[in-house]
Amino acid sequence: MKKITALFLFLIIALSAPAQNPFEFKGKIFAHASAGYRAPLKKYFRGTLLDDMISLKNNSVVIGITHYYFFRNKWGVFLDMAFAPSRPKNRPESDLLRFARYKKDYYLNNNGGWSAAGNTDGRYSFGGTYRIEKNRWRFFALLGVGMTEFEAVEDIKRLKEKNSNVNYTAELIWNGRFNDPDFQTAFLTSAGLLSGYRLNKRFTAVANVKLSHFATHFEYRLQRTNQYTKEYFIDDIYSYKRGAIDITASMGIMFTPDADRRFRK
Amino acid sequence: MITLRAAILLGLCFVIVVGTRCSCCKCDEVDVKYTSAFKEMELVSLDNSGKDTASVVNNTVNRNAYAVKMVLLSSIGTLAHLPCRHFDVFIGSANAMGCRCSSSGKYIPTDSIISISITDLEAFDVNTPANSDISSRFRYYDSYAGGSYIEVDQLLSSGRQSLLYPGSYYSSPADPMASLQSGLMFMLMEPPASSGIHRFKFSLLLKSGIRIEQTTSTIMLQ
Repeated sequence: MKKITALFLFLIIALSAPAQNPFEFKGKIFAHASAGYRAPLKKYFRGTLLDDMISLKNNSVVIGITHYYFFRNKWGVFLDMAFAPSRPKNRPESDLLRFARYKKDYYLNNNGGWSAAGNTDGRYSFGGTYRIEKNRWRFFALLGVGMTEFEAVEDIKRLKEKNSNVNYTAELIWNGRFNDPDFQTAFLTSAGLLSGYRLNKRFTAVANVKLSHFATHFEYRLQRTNQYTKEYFIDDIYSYKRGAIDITASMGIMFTPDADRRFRK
Repeated sequence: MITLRAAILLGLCFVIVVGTRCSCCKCDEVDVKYTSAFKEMELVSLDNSGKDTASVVNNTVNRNAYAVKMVLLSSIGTLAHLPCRHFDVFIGSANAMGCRCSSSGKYIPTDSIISISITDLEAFDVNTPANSDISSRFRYYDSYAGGSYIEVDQLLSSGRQSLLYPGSYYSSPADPMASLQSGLMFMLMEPPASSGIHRFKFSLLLKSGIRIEQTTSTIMLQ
């Protein structure tokens, strides 16, 4: 929250500076590339055993590209794409821990499957933007909706019942059937502020802060199936019906190909 | 014009026939194939109560974890074929390099299994007297494709009957294996309600009419 407050103060100070051409809006189209860091205000992961089966990240380096199109001098739309390119989660140890509850009554065969979530953590949003330009300063406010794409892998292990000929499968599935596609999407809302300083006619150095909220609505089921009778049991449910809020601070460069194009005052 | 086309066609046929005929070599080697014939059966009582299957100790086993390994021993026969011929189109040099016999192969079964039955020579339970067919109480466990239990009588029609035949290959025609064996493990999935002594008789009926039978040692299912 401190970062947001600081940004607002910066905005106010910048706007109160002496003006030469207070309403001279130039450029309709902008493209903005940035890199920054995303930190949680309300964490998505709460330290449960299945967290590492989901490719989302609480904290991450973020790179993003945003396109803007202004149809009026102050109003426009934007399309934002942000990716968290950090290394994928890789945890072979926890594969067995997820099924550790069965150790008492079953022999666990670890050849059943391999579950390592990939690196998918992409956010795509679009929405409206409002801008203020003053001298060499440029300020955008953004409000958007979109989706976050991520991977939620499934897992299967084979169990052999002790003192018995009966084999079981134990599956961690989230959509009712093993081998469903692992990719999921979650609804995303975002609000952001961008401040920029024109370096020259076409390039602007920008600092950006963005607040995002997303919510997922799925749950993992731990399902055990008797391979002889085909009877199955739901042994546990891990709910991921939850929301998360995070803040992304980034810096980058904005480019406008039509810097000389003016709007009417 | 038609005559010209016919002549060209005839000429092509001549070239192909003569070319291929000349290219086949003949050599002194004889392509030998080996056959397998079911000879006898061995049964091993198994205890499946642990992580790995083990042989039964003291002829006593948990009745929920009893299994039998059926081992089929086959004898090897020889099936001689024509001299080796190698088909090299338009390469007429009939030298030794162009004449190859198959260096390996699979044993060809001379007979096939029609049915498998399992009977208990003792009373299985109060409703199943001695010498009753209890094949339906055993299953073969196929760990592939997610794992499934296959009934004994379905084994021959499920596309898995090849598991009963020797699947090994001979690496050289001059060096076949001394003996062949194949086998499957059958698990007792529906055990008797109470403890008791049992002897299980496995019977294989071959297409030739030959019946191969074997009985397990006396087993205490507790």
